[in-house]
Amino acid sequence: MKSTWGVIATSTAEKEGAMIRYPSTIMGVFLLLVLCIAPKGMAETAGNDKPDKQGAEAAQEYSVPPPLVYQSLYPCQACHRRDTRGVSSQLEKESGFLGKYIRKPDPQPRILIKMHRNINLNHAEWMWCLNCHDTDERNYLRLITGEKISFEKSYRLCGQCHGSIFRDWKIGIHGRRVGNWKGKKLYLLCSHCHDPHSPQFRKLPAEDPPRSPNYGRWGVIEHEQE
Amino acid sequence: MDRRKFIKGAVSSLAVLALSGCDQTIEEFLQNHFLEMSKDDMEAARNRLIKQYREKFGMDFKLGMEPALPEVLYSYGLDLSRCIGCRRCVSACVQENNQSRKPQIEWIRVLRMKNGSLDLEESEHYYEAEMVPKEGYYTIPIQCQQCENPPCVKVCPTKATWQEPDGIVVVDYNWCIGCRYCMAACPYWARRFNFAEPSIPKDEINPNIHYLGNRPRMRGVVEKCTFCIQRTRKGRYPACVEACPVGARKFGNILDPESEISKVIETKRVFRLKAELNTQPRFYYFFSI
Amino acid sequence: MQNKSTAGFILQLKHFLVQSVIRLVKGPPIYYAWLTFLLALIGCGFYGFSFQFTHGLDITGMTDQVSWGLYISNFTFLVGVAAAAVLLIIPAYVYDFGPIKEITILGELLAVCAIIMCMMFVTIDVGRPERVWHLMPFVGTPNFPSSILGWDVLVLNGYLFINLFVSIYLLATIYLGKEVNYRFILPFIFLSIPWAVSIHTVTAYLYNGLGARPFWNSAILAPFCSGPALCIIIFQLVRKFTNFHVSDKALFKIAEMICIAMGINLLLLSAEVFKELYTDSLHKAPIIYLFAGLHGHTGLVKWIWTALIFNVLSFFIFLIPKTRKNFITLNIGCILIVIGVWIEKGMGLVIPGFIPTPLGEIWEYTPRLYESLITMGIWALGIFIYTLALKIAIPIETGEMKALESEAPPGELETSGSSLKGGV
Repeated sequence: MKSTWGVIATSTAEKEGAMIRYPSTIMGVFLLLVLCIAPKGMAETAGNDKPDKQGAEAAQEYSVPPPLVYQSLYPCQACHRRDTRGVSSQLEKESGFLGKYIRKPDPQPRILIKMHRNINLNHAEWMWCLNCHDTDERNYLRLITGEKISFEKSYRLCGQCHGSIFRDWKIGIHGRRVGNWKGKKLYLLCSHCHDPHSPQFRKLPAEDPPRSPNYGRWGVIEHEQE
Repeated sequence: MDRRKFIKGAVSSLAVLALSGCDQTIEEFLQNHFLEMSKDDMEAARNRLIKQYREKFGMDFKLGMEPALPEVLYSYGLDLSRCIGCRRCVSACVQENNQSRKPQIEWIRVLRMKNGSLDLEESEHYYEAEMVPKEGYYTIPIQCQQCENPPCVKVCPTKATWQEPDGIVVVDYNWCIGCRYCMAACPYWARRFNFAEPSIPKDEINPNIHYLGNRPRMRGVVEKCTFCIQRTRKGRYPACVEACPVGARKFGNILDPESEISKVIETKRVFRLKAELNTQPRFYYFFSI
Repeated sequence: MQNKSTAGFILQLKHFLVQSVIRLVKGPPIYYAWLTFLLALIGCGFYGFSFQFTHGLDITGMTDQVSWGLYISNFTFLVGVAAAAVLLIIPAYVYDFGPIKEITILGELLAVCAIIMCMMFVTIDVGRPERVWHLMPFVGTPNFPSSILGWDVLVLNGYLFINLFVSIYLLATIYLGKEVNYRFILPFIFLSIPWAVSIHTVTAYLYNGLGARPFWNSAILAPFCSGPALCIIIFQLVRKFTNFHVSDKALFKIAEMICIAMGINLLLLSAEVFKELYTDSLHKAPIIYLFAGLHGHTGLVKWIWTALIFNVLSFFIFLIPKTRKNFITLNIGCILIVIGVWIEKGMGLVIPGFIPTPLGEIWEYTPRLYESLITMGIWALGIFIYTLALKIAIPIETGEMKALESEAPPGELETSGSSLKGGV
């Protein structure tokens, strides 16, 4: 099943409105915590594309087709530029008129009203963008530990909460299987089937029921049942 | 063998008359049981079939006769907590395996049942093509369970159906006499009979075929699911596995401890349909959540 | 000597053939009418079969859901008829009951014809009849001993040959005016008793051994009885149209035996019905379908109740001496029992096995025109063969048709006897 990704227009600049939809205090605290740790973790990995942290899980390679996002919005940093944090802004250098719109990312959970409006966030109640997307380097996702991971490894991100399903996925029980039963397993990322922003499957139309046993038989007038 | 040939000659001359009203050629009529064919016989049968199919469907078929892979025993897993009853597997199976469209033959039957019931008699076979899953119901697709102890093979009077070393129960369509005893013996209603000449639109033919699998069948013989023998013996997944949009279908070599099906049996609670009949299906149903 | 006896044999054979042909061709108008009627039905059946041969079993009412129908039902019923010859042999030879002894040959010929019909029913039921040779040893690959159908082919053919052999031997000796050599033929006659049991036992095992079909998965499936009732009717007809003597005593004796057999049948049936209904498991669905209908599908209900009423009625008719010994009620009883058993052990036995299917689907089977024609055609062909057989057998038994008086060499009988024996 092709996922239910919305087509998101790439834009030249960004600006977000404020407001959070699910202002849960506990989660707010949690998020703040995450955000406090973030700069530290980021500082460690900033500026290089080194592979993810070592560890059994991280070392394990699962061959997956390219994430679907690579066909649409990626690279995210075309808009969400690191330099907007003030390191050295290309836009500022060129002193283009968009320069004034450029702001630092706002860590406050809120409903996006200007951009990404077609993303229907319907995951866990407390989730919002920066739980999964790295604040500073948008080409990456971010684990709860602060570790940045590429979209190819997004299963690690999902597996943080969905542990039992992640376990099943690793041994090939969860997920759709295509290709060969023999030889190397071909994995699909969670996001190949589930929209990460709204992971529950939508209903599908079933295909036609079997015909009556007499269908196509000699000398039988088939009464179409509708 | 000589005596055999002689008797066959005698039988054949008598049969020529009878055959004139029939759709069979004399070579086809005299053809041996698949397991008793020599290399030459197999080659002859292959050429004859390819020629016959070209005449009938106007295209070149790739007819395989691959034997079972060594050290392989297929098993199948179906995750009932995932299945939504969309019948994608059914249509993929029909396409892949050249099943007759009219009269309609489908090897997979998807049953819809009320939550809380496992009474097959209460199942809906012909539920409408509406949006699924439907609240309050769950679905069980049923196809050949490739039993380890298959009652259909036991009852066949001519050994026209047998179990291959890789566990697949196959039919030699050129040896089956069409007595339908196997259909009476199957507890899973997995076998279908070609009451009429099967018909498939030319543009829907799958030309990648196996002798014991999806080659176009003739009238008057029994057919069944073969775990897509033409694919699986080349290492591929069966068509139903690939078609399932929710990934409910698992397939693999049970002798390989790393295969998906071995992992299913290792980590999940599985059950087999009508276990009390001791047919020992190689088809496991399980619940992943 | 050798030459002389060969010449004598040829002469005898010629005489026999000429006499038989004359007897087969000549007859009263009712004989011609009867044969024409049968031939017309055979023609219809043959037309139906040629249609089926070119179109496939598509023309029948059978489907994947109910994959056996009218053909196999009739096959099952006729196996019971064939086995009934044993009900004549037991009193005649085991208990040496004279009146029946004279008529056993007619019973054996009936068995032969029934078996021939059985084989025809199986052959036309098969999807590819031209491949039936795959069943034969040496040329084909019979799945023996695993497949009960393989066993059934064996026992049915065996029974055919035993009965054919015994009846031909007895007729030949009578024809040649010799003493019947009982030391030679009695073992065959006695062999036919367990063999008769075996044919319907094995036929019952065809169904019985299928775990997939709870309706058949019952040990009481084996006994059927209706052949003797047919015999009573046939013997009366024979008595009416020929000089052949059948004593009332023999007929009443057969009726007594039918009564016992039907009593056992009803007892076992009630045991089965009790078991299913009192256990009240899901396996009762087919029996509910049969007797009361399932989810509004009631195709067989009226049939099975008709059968049941007929069977019970005939049981009482045969039980009460007054009605048993009155030919009007006796014949009514016979007709009731034939129809009753035909329904109960034919369609009533085969069809509910398929309803509901192993996956719980309910699809009701109704025979269609062509298969009904074919079925009638096979019945007509069987009766046709039986008529012709009686046309020769009865004159031989009554002594109207005899071998040439001229010196039949003493070696004669033995040669023909041993050649027949070789045939077995």
